[in-house]
Amino acid sequence: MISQIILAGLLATQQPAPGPRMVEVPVPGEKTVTMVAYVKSPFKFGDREAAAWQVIGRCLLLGTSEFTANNIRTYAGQAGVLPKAVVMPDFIRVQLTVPSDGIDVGALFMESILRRPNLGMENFQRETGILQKEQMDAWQRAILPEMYDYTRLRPEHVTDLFELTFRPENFSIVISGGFKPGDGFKAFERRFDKYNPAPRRRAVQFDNPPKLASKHIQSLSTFELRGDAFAPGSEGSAAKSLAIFALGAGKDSSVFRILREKERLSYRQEAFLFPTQKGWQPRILLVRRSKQGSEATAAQMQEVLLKDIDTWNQDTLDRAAAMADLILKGDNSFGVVWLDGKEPMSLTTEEAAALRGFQLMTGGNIQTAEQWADQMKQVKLDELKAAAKAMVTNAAMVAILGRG
Amino acid sequence: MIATLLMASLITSQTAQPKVRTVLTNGVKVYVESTQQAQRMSVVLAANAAGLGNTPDNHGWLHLYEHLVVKGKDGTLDHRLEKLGMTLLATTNRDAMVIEISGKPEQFPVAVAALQEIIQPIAPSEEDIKRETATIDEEIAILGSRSRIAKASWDAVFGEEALDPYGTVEKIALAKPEDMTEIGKQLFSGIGMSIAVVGDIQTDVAAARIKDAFSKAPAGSAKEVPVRPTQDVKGLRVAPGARGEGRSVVCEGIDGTTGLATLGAGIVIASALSGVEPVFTPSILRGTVTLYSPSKGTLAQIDTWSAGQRQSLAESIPWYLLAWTKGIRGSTSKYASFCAATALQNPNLTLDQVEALIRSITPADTESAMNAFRFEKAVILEGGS
Repeated sequence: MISQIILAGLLATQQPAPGPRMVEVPVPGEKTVTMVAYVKSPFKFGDREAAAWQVIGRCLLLGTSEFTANNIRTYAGQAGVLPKAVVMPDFIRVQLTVPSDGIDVGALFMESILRRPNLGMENFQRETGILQKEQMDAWQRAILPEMYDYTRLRPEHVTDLFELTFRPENFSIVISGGFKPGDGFKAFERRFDKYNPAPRRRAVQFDNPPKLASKHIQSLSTFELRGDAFAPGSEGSAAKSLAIFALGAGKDSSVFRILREKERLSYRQEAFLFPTQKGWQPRILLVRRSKQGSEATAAQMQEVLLKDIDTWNQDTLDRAAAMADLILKGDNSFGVVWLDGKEPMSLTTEEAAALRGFQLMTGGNIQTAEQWADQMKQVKLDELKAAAKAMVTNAAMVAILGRG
Repeated sequence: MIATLLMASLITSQTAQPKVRTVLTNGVKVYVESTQQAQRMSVVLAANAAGLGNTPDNHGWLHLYEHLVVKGKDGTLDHRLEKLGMTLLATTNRDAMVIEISGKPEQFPVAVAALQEIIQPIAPSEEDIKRETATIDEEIAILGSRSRIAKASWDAVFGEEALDPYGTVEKIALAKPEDMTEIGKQLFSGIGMSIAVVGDIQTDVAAARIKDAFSKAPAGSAKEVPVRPTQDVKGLRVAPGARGEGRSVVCEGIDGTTGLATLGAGIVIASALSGVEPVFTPSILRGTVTLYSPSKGTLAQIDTWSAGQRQSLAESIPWYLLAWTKGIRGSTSKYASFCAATALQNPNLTLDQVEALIRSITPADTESAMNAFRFEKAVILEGGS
């Protein structure tokens, strides 16, 4: 049962803040409860803010004013699922799974994490030190090309940004699992109903946006066609989603058949839906040795893929729909839907909750993965081809060359 | 009479065992389990890799063989399966080549036929070999730091006794068509194969079908179980082409509490450190658990923990191992792969038994496992360009 309620903050003094958006999904018989909170950035970050956002994300599971990291990890351990914090350029996701009789404890932890994480000096120094030394492989850097400078960051930048962004109107929360209908909302209402932070004003920004990677540290180059994001369930989203399955799912997909087997452009190439706060961003990415590529490679990708799309027929449509059915309903070997910056989503109950949270954050339709697959079955061949063509034609071309 | 016979067959199928385990006369180990995953099934064939393409002279030949064989008899096997909404995934690790085919339950016969197609002898051309060698060359070139750090740890601990499954392009390029044919003969011998079927299927029907399809494979000869003696590793090891750092610990098989505790310690330590990932391949044979961090200096935090902090983390080890087994059970392909791969070395090991072992892990096991990741005991690795 899915019900959606916009939980309005209590109207108190002069300027009440709207409350978090929440969805509860009771699942009879489930022995655990998963709580997923998405926090979206309310504005585009300058480079120092972007760095501070990364530090906030890293600190969220390192303890709060009330609880140590070990308290939370040990309790969640009973449910056998590690707490998770995912930091993306324009949103953060925090995920916690507890035993089904621990829903109130879970809500207590989650509220503490979202409102009072330990952003003190020790955590700040350690995490900025780790982040400063992080060296991403070419593939990972291509996925997350923003480069952050932590050298100018001070603890107050982090705490200021936290107070500006971690506000109830930016939260989207899903509670899913073994509880009675209504208990999910109750557990969180208790925690958030008096949460009405005073308005904060963002300081005038002189910082540029974060720099994007222009070169890889390895001798590998990446080439990408990057599309425009679309909200789940928005007009044409079924055809756009299915286009990515046709382009990227399985070894008979366009990227494997054409980019790898026919054009021999790469060993590794993927087409996938990447999560942003605006929705799914279609991306087609390949990596190859530096000496074998140039800026023209992305244009070559576009040209050969458009030619392939022209040849798509009923066979292609059937295969894409069959792959969507398989991937979203039972087997993630060739997944093309990502919920973080690392890999395709899995089909666990926790990720199913995270998918709903993503849909809630983006203002899109709340639906299960299975419903999404069924929606894609209604797409016609001409719609599929038109969506794929538009996606590839209008994509931004991104090349990040490697050393030597 | 006919009514009686029909009723008997109905009753047989209604009371079919949820699990069937058997060994065919030619040595193929078979495991079939009916699980709750509605509308899913996976069939996995694991073939013992011992002695094949993992010596200095033929390093990578098994990997090359995998590239050649999984396309099927006319190169269209993936296309045929995907059109039906089925997937084929093949991987080669140090222990085995593992081929997974997944789909809907009614597609079980198609999956079996696809595996039969794959185990047929192949006769690749020199051109096929050249082409796939080039592909593997690219595959190795783009290997990520995580894999490179893990590979370096194996090289340090096991040396030439356990070469990595990727291979060396120079050796792969020396393979001839007849070498590939010979590898296939040795790989897909009855004694060296195990097959697992998991999902929404009738166990007796599935077991009978597997028997029918694979009992004619030549038995072959018994394979030696790799011993994997370890080397004494001192000092920092550099992982060429990698970034970041790693720490690695020798891990005994997952059919014992010591190995499981080591695996669990890796998982729990990684959970406590920002950006760190555990790298391991579950096996009954000795291997390693490696912690990888893209950021140098992160893993040094392990050495700053007090005994109390280590113990606190250690208490979660059984929980997270049970979460790991839960994750295996939750996927027909992961579960079937687990069953097929472990059956090669221990045909009687079940996931239930592994879970019972996890529950019997002692504080002494976990303390020892946690300590093994400290600087003075672990293999210390650093990325180097």
